[in-house]
Amino acid sequence: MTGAPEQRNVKLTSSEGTEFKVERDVAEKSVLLKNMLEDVGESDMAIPLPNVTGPILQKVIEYCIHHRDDPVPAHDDDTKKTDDIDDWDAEFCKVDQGTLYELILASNYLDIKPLLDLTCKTVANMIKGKSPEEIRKTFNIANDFTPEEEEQVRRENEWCEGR
Amino acid sequence: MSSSIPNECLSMILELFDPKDLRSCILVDRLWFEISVRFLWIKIYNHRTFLACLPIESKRMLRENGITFRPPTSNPLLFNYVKFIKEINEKTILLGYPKILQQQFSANQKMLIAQESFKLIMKHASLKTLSVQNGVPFLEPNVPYITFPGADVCLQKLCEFFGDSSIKSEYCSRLADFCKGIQKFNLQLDEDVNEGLDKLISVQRNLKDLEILFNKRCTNFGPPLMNLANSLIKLNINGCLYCPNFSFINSFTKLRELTISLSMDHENLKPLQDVTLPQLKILSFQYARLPRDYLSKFLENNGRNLDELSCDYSLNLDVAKFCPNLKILKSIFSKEDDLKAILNNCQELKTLEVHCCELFLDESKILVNLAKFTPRNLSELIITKSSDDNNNEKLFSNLLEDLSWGEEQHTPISIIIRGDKLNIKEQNKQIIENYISLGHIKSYKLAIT
Repeated sequence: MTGAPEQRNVKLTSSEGTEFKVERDVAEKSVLLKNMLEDVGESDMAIPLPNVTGPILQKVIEYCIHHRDDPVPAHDDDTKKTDDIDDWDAEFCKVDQGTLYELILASNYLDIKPLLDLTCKTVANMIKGKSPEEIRKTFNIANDFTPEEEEQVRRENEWCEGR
Repeated sequence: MSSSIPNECLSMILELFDPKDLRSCILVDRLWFEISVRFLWIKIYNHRTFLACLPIESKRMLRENGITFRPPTSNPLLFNYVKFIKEINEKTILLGYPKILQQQFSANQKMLIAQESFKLIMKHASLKTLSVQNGVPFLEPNVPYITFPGADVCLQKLCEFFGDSSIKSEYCSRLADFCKGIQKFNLQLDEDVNEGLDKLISVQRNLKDLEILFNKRCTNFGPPLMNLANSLIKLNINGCLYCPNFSFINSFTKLRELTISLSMDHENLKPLQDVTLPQLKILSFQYARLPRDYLSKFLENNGRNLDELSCDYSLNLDVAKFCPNLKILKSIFSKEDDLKAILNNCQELKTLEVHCCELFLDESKILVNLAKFTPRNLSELIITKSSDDNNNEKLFSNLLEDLSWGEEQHTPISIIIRGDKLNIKEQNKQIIENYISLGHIKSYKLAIT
């Protein structure tokens, strides 16, 4: 053990009022919480997260614990590739679609960029390379275009060769 | 039961897509169309549809001048697509139509189409990226869109600007009046910087990323740069044909990323040897035979902080000595000793990218040494092969059956080989498969270009 000072725990409350205790460096993976903690300073008060449910907060914490030692992402560029998801992250994202969407919303709200990227990429990979019909099937969507409308969308947004 | 994807999520995801991926998305349903169309139209996506967005007066005027085009359908357009446009390239608008409309236009007709197009954009769009690289200015119509109604609003939020020194001084000067938030500036200099360009660079308050290509001798680019010393974090100087003296770089203390490519005027790099850039993390020296003395000294002063470096073989020993914390290294090796030194000293290395060709160490030699001296965190070996290398079809042809892997535990390595006509003989494939099963290698992939 190095002589690092003992970490204080941070308390978080999910939308249902369930309390979670996490170490401060784990909580600080969230830029929102990091800023809050810096503003508030030491406090025993639980931080309420009314936009995040317990099961989702549990997942988010699991992610932050696994990635607690990752360097802070330096800059926003170059993160748009969708093929570089590592095994742990891929396994972490094997959840139902509803959970995945809630994770996207939660990581956006809590401002955890790497988790937001990961979850968005995961959904992106479910869309890329698919035909409209395949996308509808994957996401259980009914086509609400009239045939005439669909033709107009197609014509106005035709792919032009040689541009 | 799967729940439907919230609009907010969908929007964040589709923002990452390129037009090719978006083409399916617009046809899924009305909601997906509404969300994806704005990303599809970041650039002018379809010129016929774009022209259909022109107001009636413009269409009438063009018709009177013999320019007619069919709208996509007989219905009113589903959107005013122009308001989604964020990026334009002047050249596409000045020259882009004849091919797309499959018609021949006179110079005057081209000018009219460009003029009406620019009016439309200036009125409705809010641009983020603008390219004004003229290249062949005398062939193109000159449309003074910078003075059109709405130009100030349309251009004031520009983040990226690509231009060259042939842009007229008055244009730059006017742009400088309302556009002060450019973050990325890409400039080709074929002559000295004119007054307007000087002003445009000087007024930027938040310029982070600057790339300059020197095509000819340009002596006065320094002064406007000095105003950027407090904001610039990424600088790329490409001096294939002329290289400025690097004495200016001393004050760029916020620089995080520096790329220098040059093949002449090596003496102008001399000031680098006394420079310390405390924030520098990513460094790239391109082109061979750089003056080793100056760069070695620069690495001595700045190497400890570096995360990522690309260089050539002449600096390998300096890298081993001065850059112990590197995570990514791209280089080329002429001697096994250099590679050994780096593998032993750069213990933080995660990715090693090596260019292999006939005159330098080949992939077998690289792997043999890697097996012996694997830095504990190394997880990726990327090998790039020259396209004219005759050995591309027999990769790892000198691979030893029994690589003596070091005693210490190391991360399994993913190997990626890039090049054309790549092939591995069955026998060597077996050897590698064996190392995969033993946990030394994680995977290997041929990326054929």
